[in-house]
Amino acid sequence: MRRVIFSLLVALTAGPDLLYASDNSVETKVCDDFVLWGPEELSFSSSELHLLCGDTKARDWQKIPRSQALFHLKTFLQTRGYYYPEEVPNSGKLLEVRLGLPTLVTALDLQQMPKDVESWTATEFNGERLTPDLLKTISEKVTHRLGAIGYGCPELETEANPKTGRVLVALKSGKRQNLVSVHTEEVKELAPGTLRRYDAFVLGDTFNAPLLPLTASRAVNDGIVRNTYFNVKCETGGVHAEQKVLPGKPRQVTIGFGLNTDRGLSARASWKHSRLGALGSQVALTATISYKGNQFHSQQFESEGKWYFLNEPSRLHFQPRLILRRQSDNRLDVVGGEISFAPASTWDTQKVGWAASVGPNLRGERTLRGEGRRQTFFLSLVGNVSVMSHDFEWQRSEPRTGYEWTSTLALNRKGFLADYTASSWQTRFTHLWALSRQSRRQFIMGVRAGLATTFVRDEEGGLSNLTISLRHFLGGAGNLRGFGFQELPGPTGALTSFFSSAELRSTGLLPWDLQPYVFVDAGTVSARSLDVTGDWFTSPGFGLRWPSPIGVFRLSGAHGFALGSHPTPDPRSHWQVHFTYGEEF
Amino acid sequence: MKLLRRILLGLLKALGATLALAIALLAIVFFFPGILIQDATLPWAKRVIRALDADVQWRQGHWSAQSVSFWRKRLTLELDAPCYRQADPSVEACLHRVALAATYDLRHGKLLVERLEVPGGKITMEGGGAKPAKEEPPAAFEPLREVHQVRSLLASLDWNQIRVENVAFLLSTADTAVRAQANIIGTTEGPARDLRATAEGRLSSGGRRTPLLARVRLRGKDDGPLDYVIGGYWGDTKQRISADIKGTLTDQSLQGEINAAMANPTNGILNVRATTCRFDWKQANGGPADITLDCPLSTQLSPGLAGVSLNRIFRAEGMDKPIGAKLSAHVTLPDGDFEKAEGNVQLSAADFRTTSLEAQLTASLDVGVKTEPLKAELRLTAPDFSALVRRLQSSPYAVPAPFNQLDGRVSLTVKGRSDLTLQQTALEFSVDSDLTSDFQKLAFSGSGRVGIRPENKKSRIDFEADVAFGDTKLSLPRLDPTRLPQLLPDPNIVYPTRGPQSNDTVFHYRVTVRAGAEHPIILHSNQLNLDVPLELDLLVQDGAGLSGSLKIPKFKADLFRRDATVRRVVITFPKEGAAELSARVDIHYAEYDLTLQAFGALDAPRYTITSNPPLSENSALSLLLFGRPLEELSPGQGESLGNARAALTNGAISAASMYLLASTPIESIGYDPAAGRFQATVRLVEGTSLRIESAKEGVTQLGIRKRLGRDWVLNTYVERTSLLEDRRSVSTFLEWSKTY
Repeated sequence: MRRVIFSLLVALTAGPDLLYASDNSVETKVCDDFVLWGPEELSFSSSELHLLCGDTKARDWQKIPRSQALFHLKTFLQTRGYYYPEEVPNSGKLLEVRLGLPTLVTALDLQQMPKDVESWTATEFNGERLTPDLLKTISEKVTHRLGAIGYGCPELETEANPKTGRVLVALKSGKRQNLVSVHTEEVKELAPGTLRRYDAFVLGDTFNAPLLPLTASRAVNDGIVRNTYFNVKCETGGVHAEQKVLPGKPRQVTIGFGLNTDRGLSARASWKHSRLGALGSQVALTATISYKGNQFHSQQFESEGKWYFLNEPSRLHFQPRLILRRQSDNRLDVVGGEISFAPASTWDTQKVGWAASVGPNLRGERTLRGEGRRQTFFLSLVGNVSVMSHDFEWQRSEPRTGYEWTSTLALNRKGFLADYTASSWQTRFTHLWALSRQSRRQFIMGVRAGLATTFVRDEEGGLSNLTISLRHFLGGAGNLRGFGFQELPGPTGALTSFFSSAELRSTGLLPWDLQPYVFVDAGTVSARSLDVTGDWFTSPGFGLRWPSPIGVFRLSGAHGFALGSHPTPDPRSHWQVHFTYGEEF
Repeated sequence: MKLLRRILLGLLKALGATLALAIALLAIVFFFPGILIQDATLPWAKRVIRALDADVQWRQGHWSAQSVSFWRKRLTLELDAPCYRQADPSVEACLHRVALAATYDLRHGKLLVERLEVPGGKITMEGGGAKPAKEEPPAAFEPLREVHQVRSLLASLDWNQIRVENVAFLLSTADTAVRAQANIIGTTEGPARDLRATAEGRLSSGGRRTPLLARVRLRGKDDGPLDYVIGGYWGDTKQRISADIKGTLTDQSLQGEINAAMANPTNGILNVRATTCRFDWKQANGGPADITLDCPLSTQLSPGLAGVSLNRIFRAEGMDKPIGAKLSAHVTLPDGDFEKAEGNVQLSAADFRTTSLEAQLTASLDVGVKTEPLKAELRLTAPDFSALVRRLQSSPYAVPAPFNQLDGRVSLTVKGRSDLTLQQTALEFSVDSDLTSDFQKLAFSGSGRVGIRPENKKSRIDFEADVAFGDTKLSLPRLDPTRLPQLLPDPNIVYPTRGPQSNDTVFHYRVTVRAGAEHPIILHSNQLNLDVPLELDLLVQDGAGLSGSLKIPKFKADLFRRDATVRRVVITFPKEGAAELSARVDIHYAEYDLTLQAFGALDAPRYTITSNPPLSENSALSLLLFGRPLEELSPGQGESLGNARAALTNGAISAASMYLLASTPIESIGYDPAAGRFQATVRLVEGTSLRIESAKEGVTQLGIRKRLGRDWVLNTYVERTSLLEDRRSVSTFLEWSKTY
């Protein structure tokens, strides 16, 4: 049994290439009198079969001579990485071909490239099957890389040696240039320049190709236009971009139903106007009803908008927001709402995007059942700052590199439309690095840390006086994965929570794009404000990430340990399994 | 004085007496040669020979001489184990015994060998290698003179019985050795003499041993014509040559008949036979030689190294049967100097017919013509193309589909002139076809020339051809447009060559291919049951690549789910730069007429869409791709429309992808401008869709959206539910949405 498990582990960690036999023992029956012997069974498309075996439904293509079938086979085998098939000599009608072994890429030789591309380790494709498609991919990746360092229109020449597996990519023409102009197609309802508020690039700076689609995706995700894209043209003075726009209709009604991981069964109706006025202000109304049996149900109405109030296109705007909700679960039954009105803006450099807002937030809650105050009014001055590197933003669905920092500070004082004083600060930082890449195998190192604290006055009741949203917890897939969701410190929560995590994830190690990872989380919670001297907890563990076609699944197992002088074994130490959908590190 | 006179007189007398004595002795020896030649003088003879620096030894011997008549003297000689040795070149001839009885006629200078017996022995001759020969002017080629020298020798020699048997001889040089057993038998029957010589052994050269047999027989009278027979055999299991020449030699002529056969003289030829090949060499004393040759030949071809499958075809086609030919020549050779020869040599092959091929070959050599004296003409016809297809079906040279369904006639004619070394050759060829099947036609004619000439110590080959298509219609394979297979090897994958490439030949080519408007090539799409006309005007030239144009004139087709008219498709291959596309398609809708135009690089063309009455580009594209106006598009279709427009204007949609969009219902279109990658989801059959391409990078939206229909989407959101905590929730919603 141990041997079987060991063999399985070796096969899995060696990658898919070793999962097939290393000899020519597997039969592929192409057609009645056409057989292939190779290390794996191949499948051919109907079009390929028509050219290999003939097509009874096509005039004059019923009979394919043996030599022609062999010619087509050799071409088709190129697309599967086989370059040296051999016909098995026999005197019968049966055509037998030994495939040999597929050619794998052994080296990528970059020539006449700028130094920053030449210094690319270029081992990314080693071990991959050499196919025409892979050559195209390599060419695209090199083009993409050149595009990111100023080469708007590079022309490449690619050549591969199927005997040695060596791939040569040479830059034939193109040079590093700046992005000197952006011309945007006119949108009837919008003032010229309105779409520039989504720019991830800096005009006049070195051309960076990925920043153009990032800019376009920001505009599309914001809903101001249905679709937009950039064309680039290289001239002697620099790169000129032309932004094409498909505005689409500005108003959208959506009705849907589905499942939410927290709220259970949900139904939602929304209305959005994405181009109010010439500067593209927006407003959205959303009503959501959720039901999770007797355990949880909620109703919520939310209205939010972006009001670009200046006379000229600008990034500065107001963010008005109104939320009305009722939430019931087995601990609480709360009716409440909040209203906020914050000026906000964004900035971008060539590397980083910034966003900040600051403004009042008035929150009112009435607790119908559960702990805490029965009724609360709470006016805060809330400030948000977030910094996100462009690569982090661009690869958000497949995080590999970059960083993000968000920080929120909420200030209030009893007497200023607040029933008690409870200022809070929450900040969180995540950084990812792509470590050296060998073939499809790559390690991604990530660290994250978060601090959340609430400042209260003991004379006003301290922690026990706070609503649940101002108390802090640890545990769950988002921080300490060795503990259950919000398990720490207990039902009462804490005034301070701090955690940090390190995770090492590998891609390309296992088949079917399964990505194993190991991690260690550590954190502390304290009943005092801005205090990290409370009980510390740690949770080493491991997990598996699967970027499925319908979203990312993560399964992790970790053991939570309580550190310090607690009785051994500490009753809070235990194994915890988390299964999440759509969440990332 | 007197004394002196006496002395002189005395000397004179003594000299006279000595002379008289010598004459008397000579007379005695002349009449009684046995006095001098007898066994007692044999050791003395050995000393004399040695004194002459000749190394001749024998164990014991007998000799005697008799005077048969005044003029005829008879000698008998018997030597046991005689040996003759020579240093340079090394010669050693040791015989078992020599017995000779011969009479010499002093008056006529003629030797009669009454009996010569050599019962065995060994002769070894070794050469140290070829010495550099002095440059000497080539001797005149006068074979009759050489033959007459032999005849003169034979005229002075007569024999009754010669019997030389089992004499082994070894002749060797640095790289060649001949070992043979020789026999010479000479007899006389009445006035006719007969001399037969045979040598049988083997030749070793270059590590290869081949058997060797040579026979010579001469018969004739003293003054009459001499009949000769010369035969020989050389060869092994790979190559063999055997020849028999017999004829008559007179004072003024050499006539003869050759029967010869060569097996495997070269790859591709199994054998060549010459049967009753007659030659006549006439030459009066000192006059010019008049040579005639009339030589029937036959040869058998072999498939050579082409493999087992071609062997089968050879036999099935009857190509292994003998091919008849005739070699005839009439040449005048003044002064035996070939440089001054004049005349003609002609080779004409009998018509060669197999089940599927007919061939005629004639070749001639104009003797005396300095430039390109060699002329040849080959006509090759496949009168029954389908038979040729059947024959080649299982060979490496099988006719590919769809041409293997054609039947009719294909012919090739090649005419050429060359010098004798074949280094300067000019060939002209023409080819034409008239092939048909139930559904296809292929008619084309072509002509061209091939020139071979030396240039800068290399051989330069110039190839030119013009091909013009006539009435031609060809079927295309039924290929799924959504999954077009790779039809040609990727040119970016370069197989390493084995060993250094020979660059002794410089190859230049220039080929034009034309299919004019009056005879366009009709391509029938089995997939769409559609005939597409194609006009070609292409030039392929070394160093310049492909140039010219490929045109598809107006035809009707079902495109974008509408009746469309392809007004024109022109692909231009400029002499420099990438191929360019120019195309126009008109699509008729109830209220609009759309025109889709493509232009620019073939692999990344740009498209424009115009309409009548005018529509915005977005509306026109909406109508084209989704068959409905922009206002009626769902949000997903609107997004696809934008992506399509991005890809269209960015040149990311190849002509093949556009054809796919035109022929298949579209579900969605995506475009990643950073990677330049176009992606489309097309509906294959109801309920089944196919994603053509996918972009892995640059998905910026957190969450995933799957379009299920025109207005329905499966949406997955990831939300942060709290500002103060990093708490996220994930929702998956089936949504209906409408924009207005």
